[in-house]
Amino acid sequence: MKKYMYVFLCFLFTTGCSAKTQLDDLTLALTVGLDTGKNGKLLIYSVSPVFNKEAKNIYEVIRTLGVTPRDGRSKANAFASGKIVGGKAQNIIVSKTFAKTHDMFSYLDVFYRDPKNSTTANFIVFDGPLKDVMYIRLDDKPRLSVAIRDVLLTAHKSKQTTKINLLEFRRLSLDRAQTPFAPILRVHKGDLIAGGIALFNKQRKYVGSLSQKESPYFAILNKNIKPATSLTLAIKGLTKQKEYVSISIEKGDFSYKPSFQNGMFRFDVHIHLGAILTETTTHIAMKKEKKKLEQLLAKEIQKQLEAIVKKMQTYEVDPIGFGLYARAYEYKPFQKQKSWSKAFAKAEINIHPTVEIISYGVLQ
Amino acid sequence: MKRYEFNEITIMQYIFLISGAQIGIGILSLPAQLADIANTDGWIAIIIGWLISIIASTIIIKTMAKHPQDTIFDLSRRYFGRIFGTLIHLAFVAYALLASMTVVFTAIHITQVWILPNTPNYLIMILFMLPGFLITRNGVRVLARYAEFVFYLTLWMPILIAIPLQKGTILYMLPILKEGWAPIFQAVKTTVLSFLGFELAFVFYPFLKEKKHAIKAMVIANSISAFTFLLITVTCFIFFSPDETPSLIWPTLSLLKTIEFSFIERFEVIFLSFYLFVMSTTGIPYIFTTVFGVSQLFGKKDHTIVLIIAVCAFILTSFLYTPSFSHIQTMGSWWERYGLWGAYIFPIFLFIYVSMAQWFQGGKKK
Repeated sequence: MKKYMYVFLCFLFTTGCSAKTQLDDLTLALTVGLDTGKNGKLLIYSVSPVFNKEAKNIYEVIRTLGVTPRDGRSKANAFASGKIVGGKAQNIIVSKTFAKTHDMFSYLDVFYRDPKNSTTANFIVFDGPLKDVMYIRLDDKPRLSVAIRDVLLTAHKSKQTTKINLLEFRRLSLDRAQTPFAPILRVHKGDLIAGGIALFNKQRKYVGSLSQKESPYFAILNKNIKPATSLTLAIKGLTKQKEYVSISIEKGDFSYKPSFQNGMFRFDVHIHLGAILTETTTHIAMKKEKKKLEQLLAKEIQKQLEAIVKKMQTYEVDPIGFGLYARAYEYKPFQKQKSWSKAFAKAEINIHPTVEIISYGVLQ
Repeated sequence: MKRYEFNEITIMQYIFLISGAQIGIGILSLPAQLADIANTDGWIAIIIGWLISIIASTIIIKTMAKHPQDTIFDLSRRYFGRIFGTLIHLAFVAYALLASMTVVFTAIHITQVWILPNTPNYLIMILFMLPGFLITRNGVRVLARYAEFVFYLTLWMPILIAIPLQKGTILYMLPILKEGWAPIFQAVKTTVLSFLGFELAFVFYPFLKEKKHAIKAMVIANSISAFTFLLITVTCFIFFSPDETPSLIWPTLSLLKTIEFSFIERFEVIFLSFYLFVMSTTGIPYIFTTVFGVSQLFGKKDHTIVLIIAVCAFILTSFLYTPSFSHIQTMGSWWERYGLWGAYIFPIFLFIYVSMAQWFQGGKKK
């Protein structure tokens, strides 16, 4: 009896032999793109690597017209060189015009619903028609999907843009107290550039953007300054001429204090930044003028931070998550608001940054 | 006289047997159910549920301690006579059968959705029943050893769940007591049911070697489960936004999906494959209880024949019937409704009845 059992068990090991899938028989969609096509239909791109020595291109781009992403994939299977698999997706790119007019959730649903799909793919907004990026020729870069990811990660590390994956996008969208955002990618003179931040409203539609210059300040407000956020600020007043000072922010202490008065939310934001001075265009006598420089830098940072908060309030979006603090500490009035975005637009936000120069390099 | 001498289990095995039966399929969906009712305050309900389950298990042990050699099947015959005793006996068997069906079919469904979408469910059933048969056939001692073994085998899993914790937003948890106590008490009903499994003490208590530690063992088993529930629920709450958690069916698995290392993706597949062990420690004790109960009904000592019939019936069912997700949910809700009576209300009545009966007999020991 026992002997037969072992023989039977041995057969179980062979189950994998019948339904195997060879890697080169698959079309791994590493990048999926969504754009508006003709007649309001959806234009779906998928970029997948080609593992074939004879093929000239190292990746193939498939373009189909469909009503939904899954519909487009079924159609694409008709002329892909292998069965399309979505589980390895690294980037999901939507064009700006598409994001402006469509609720993102209707088109991203398949990525969340089907457990075989990856939810850690980067979500990216592309500035321009998607064909610009899909058929770009990058001779000095790796495969397109890898190149996009690399450009994005590098830009994110230096705070020129931000990074969000599908899961985080969903988390921010579904939370009453926040709105989602996404990095912006564009093509300029044949180069891939990641910079700026796309802002989405509560209906998951694109409403506006922050420029590449504003991105580091967005990162500061988001408490995301590690490993280091570098800023170049124009300040006046220390010497007579216009001067530029570059600092690298190494650490920060944040406090967001919400309060509710007269039917209006009020936030007192205190940010204490520890910075290293990395560059000045004019000579500053650091020993004497350190305090003054710190104040001037703080003032300039405050101006920039207030500007982007103002911008977010006009768009009625809250990607920073001020609502989180409102909900945590002023729950009753927060719950009464029909729409947090509207309440946030009316809120009074006072930002008080302070800068402390930790060191100023090896020069006096 | 010791009836189950050959099958005695140690206190550790007993603890892991009970907590293994408690931690199973419920935990995969518990955070979503709690968030739906009590938002991020749901974790308080777990603590209350924990206290209630400890009280209920203490009552069970107190009842069973009056006749340390009796399982619930013997006890019901002793106190309720032939007809009523058999009825209670049958009810308990039906309950265990329902529980084991729910666990097995849910496990199959989850395996199909997350890991093996193209495998027919009868194949998965056969694969589940193979170890199930081998363990159940050998009785309580092997069952308990298996539970202990699985506990050590899966100790790494809570650590893994804590990884997403770093990326969480603790602000989601505030304010505590958002809407007062009312939603929390509503959620207690759900948490109380996730502790189901301790009622198996009705069957396993006579097998315990050191009976004086039984209550302590129950408290520890319930605490292990409560800690696991709390860990997972809180992690889900601070990882997903409060409005998102109810939109997920299995938030625990969605949570694991986000864990990614540079060398491995879709970590939930590996996790779930190991989790099948955890689910088996829920399913197998219930299958054992069913089979054991039926063989006691016929006065048979060896339960192998009943087990073979049961295993064949399970496999045959899976050939003929593939439950949809809504069927599985209905099955689960039946189990819970039944469990509320079987594990919380019935023990209280039984305790009162048994105490009264003994009192009337004037301490005359049988």
